[in-house]
Amino acid sequence: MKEDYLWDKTGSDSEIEKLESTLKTYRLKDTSPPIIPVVEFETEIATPAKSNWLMRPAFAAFGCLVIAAVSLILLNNLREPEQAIAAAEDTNPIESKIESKNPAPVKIVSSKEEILHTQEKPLKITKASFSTQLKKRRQLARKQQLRAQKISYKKVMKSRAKPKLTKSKKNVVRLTKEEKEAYDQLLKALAITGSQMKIVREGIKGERVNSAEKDGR
Amino acid sequence: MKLFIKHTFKIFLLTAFLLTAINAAKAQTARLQFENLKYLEDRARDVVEVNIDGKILKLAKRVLVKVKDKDAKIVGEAIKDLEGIYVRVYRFENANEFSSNDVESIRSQLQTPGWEKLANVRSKKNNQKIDVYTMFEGDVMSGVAVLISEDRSVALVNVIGPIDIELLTELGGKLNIPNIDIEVSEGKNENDKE
Repeated sequence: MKEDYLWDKTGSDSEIEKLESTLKTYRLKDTSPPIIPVVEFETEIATPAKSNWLMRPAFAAFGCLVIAAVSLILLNNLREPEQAIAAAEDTNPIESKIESKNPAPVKIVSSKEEILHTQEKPLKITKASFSTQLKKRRQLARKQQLRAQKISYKKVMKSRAKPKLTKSKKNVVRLTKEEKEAYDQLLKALAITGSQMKIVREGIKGERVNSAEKDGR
Repeated sequence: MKLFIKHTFKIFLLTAFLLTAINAAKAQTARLQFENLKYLEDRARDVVEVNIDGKILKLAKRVLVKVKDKDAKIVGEAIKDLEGIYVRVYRFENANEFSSNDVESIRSQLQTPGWEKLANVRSKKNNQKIDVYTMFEGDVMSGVAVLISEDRSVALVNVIGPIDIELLTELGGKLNIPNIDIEVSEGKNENDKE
């Protein structure tokens, strides 16, 4: 086989020429690349679902209700000490005088001289004293609240605590299972021994009585 | 050959010495052997068997110390040096279900050196036989054996170590000790009727 024919087709090679003739049909034809037809597909763009126009205000209303409820609860908690203060104020003789239907008006005065000069007999109440009294009452109310909480806490703890063993008059001894069994066995043995010795004693006494009777005869 | 004879003779002497020592030790202990009473156990209607020694006795003594009771303390003092209590009680349905030979094995043990007869009571009523033996090591009591046989019952009590028996008889019933009295045979009433 000549390599030149394979390289640049110079010369001749019978074998290669035969192969070329047989494989002629499969020879590459230089043509333009095939054109792929363009197919257009219809696509559907997902659009958001239309929202119910009622849901938004409903959610908003629900949120407002929740907020209102929480605020009410907080206000109630805050009002409790104020009510306690109001109750304390009610019991205070000074307040009772203020709230009573006393025709004498109560003037909040700033100095003692004004009090003395007025024809009516107002109570000696000043702004500062009133605020300090309010503070004191609020402190008292808080203390009472804390005491009540402590008492309730103590009650809860007591209820959770284990019941105390009441001391009985009898001596209660804690024994292990082995100790109890050994103790029971010992008591049993001692009881039987004691009873047997009683029989021996009675037997000996009987013998003595018999011998005494014999001597007496 | 001579060496062999020497060694065998030495071995024989050693074994003889050991056996005598063991026998001597057995003879000196106050513990009775109850193995021969199995024949009674098979035929008895009621059997009471109590063995207290070693660890059980130590535990029981510890409990007596724990219990805050006067009687318990007294009993604790009484059994302070106790080493063991062994009780066997056999009760039979009918009279004469056992023979005196059955009990002789125990009596023979009480005849060995060391045991001293303390009391011996015989009564024709219910064919009652009472034997009380004690063993002393010097001035200290090392054991007590009580054997009571009647028509329908056999009772054996073996106490090892010093014990105040009088105190026990007095405290029977106290300290939650039930009054376990051996039933007097019903033949008493029959005999009285006769």
